[in-house]
Amino acid sequence: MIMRIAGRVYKVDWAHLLVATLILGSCIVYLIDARSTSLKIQNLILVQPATIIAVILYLLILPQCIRQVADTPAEISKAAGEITSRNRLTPAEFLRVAALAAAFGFFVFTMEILGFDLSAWIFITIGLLICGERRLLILIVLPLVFTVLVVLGYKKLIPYPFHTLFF
Amino acid sequence: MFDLSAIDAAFSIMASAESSWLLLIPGLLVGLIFGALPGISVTMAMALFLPLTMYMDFLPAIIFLTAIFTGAGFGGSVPAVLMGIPGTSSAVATTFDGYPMARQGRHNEGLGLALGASTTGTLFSYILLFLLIESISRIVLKIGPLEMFAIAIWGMMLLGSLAGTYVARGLLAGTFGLLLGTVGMNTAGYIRGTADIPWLLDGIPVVPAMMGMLAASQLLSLVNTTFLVESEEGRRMNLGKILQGVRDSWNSPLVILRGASIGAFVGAIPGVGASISNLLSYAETKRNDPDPDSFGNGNPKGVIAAESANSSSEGGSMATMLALGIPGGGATAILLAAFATHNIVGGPQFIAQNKDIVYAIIFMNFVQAFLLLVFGLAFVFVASSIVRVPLRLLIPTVLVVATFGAFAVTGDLTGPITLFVFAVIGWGLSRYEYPVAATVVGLLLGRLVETQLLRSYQVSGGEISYLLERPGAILIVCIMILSTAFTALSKRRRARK
Repeated sequence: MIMRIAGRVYKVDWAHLLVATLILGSCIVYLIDARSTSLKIQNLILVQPATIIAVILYLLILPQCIRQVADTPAEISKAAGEITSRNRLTPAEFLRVAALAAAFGFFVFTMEILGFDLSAWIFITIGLLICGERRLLILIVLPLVFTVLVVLGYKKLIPYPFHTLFF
Repeated sequence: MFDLSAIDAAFSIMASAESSWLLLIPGLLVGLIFGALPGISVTMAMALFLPLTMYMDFLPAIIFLTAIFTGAGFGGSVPAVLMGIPGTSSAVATTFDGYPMARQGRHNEGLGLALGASTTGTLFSYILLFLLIESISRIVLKIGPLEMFAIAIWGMMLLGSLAGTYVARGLLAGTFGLLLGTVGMNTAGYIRGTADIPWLLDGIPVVPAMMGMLAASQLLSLVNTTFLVESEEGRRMNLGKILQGVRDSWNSPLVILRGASIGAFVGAIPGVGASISNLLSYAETKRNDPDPDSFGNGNPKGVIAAESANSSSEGGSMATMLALGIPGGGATAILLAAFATHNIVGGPQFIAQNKDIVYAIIFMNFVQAFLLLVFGLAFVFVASSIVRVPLRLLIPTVLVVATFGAFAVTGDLTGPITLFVFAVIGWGLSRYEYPVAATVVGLLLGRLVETQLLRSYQVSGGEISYLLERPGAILIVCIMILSTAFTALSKRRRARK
């Protein structure tokens, strides 16, 4: 996004700035939490120097998120059209990723409530739909067969019990 | 140097141990299959079959378990190459170039490279074990916390070399990972960053986090893609190309030698092992290569370096276990448990009194390495068919397997939740070209770096002069500085050209 701040023109990559700030923010919050536990060297020997390094690195990255652009129409137009991320997505593509991530989150957080088998079956069906599968036979058979195989296989393999609704 | 009568006795034992021979192939197959399943670690595979060994004689039991160890060591590289899922920490570096190779339709070659390097690495480490078992045990006893810290920092230096286009982003991602790796209770008893979540006291579960950042995040990114390998030609299974990959791995003897030496040495250090050796070997190979920028984009040497190191760690950890009775990691701990169930105590006494059995174990592992080549070849040929499956079918099913795998690691929902959270973090990081691999390395080494730094501080009483008493640590630091300086110089020269 092109912005005019104090008479100068800047290209700001807000999403990247947000990612970098979230990383630094979590480092600083962690340091504050560590310092509230104890100020002894045994506690801060690594956390404090690493957070200071993170701050320095963030300051080095900032110019990559906020870049000054020459105040001419040609330069402003060129900067506005530049792709800031190598992995740029269209809104529709982004929505598909977000929908799959949301479905995955739903699966993970409902495993113990619905049962590992039922939530896996629901997730595979929804996941197939999000990923573009439209054949009814596949949508019915694959989630069912795969869920049965995975649930029974892992039940045999791992020593921990897990909650299932059907198997 | 060699006890010839013990070697002769070892051959006699092998000749009369038919059951040991019969168990070699099942052990390898069990290892290959379990190693290729995300979340089922080498340790878990061996633990599952440990009760079975109680009904076997001592030698067949150990041979069966070491065959699982060898098979699983390579099995982990199959999902690492094909899907970017490391499964275990020892296969992290394999994903760096193996997975890009698969995406370029060079999965046959990538798997062949991994197989060739693994086989040679295993063989090399057991040869080294045969030659140097007594010397290695003496060196291992002299390694203190400062040396361990220096080795971990050496691993951390990878962050700079792993960082892709933007060095600062790579280092920030690595520092972020390092801090995440220290969450929970440290060795001095201080609790940080747990947000009152009880399971975070033990730290962030590393394997699910790793699977989330390296694999699940990739799968989320691939939702708009049709096939793992875009070109139809590239998706074909090709035994010739797998064999070509195996041959190509042998065309880089220096990379294998470096990887296997690093793997055998680092593997011998208790608590360090294959999870660091594959990264060290990868970084050193990248540093010494005339074209380091090609690493991370499907450079075959990256796969060879990682696989030769992680497979040779097996021989290194066996050296410590046999010579000192100290398990270097989970797998050797299970081997030691198998020793105990047969009323045998590992350590210097065992070697002194049973050299013939030790040699028999080593020789049988030579055979295992050759068998791995044959059975591994058949295994990867079948496994590589996964690239022919459309991603719309693969993504949800692999995410489910990864989730069950994460559950298998922790035994409760902490694994799946960690997997999900780190999948989202990994997706966000990779979207803005922060190398997730650097965060993974930091996460892996965070606890080790802090613990060893703390121990060094406690031992030295905060006195810098303590450094002078530890020539080993100084040597490691010097090698690290020199190799970094050489890399910087060669980068500068290339930039001038």
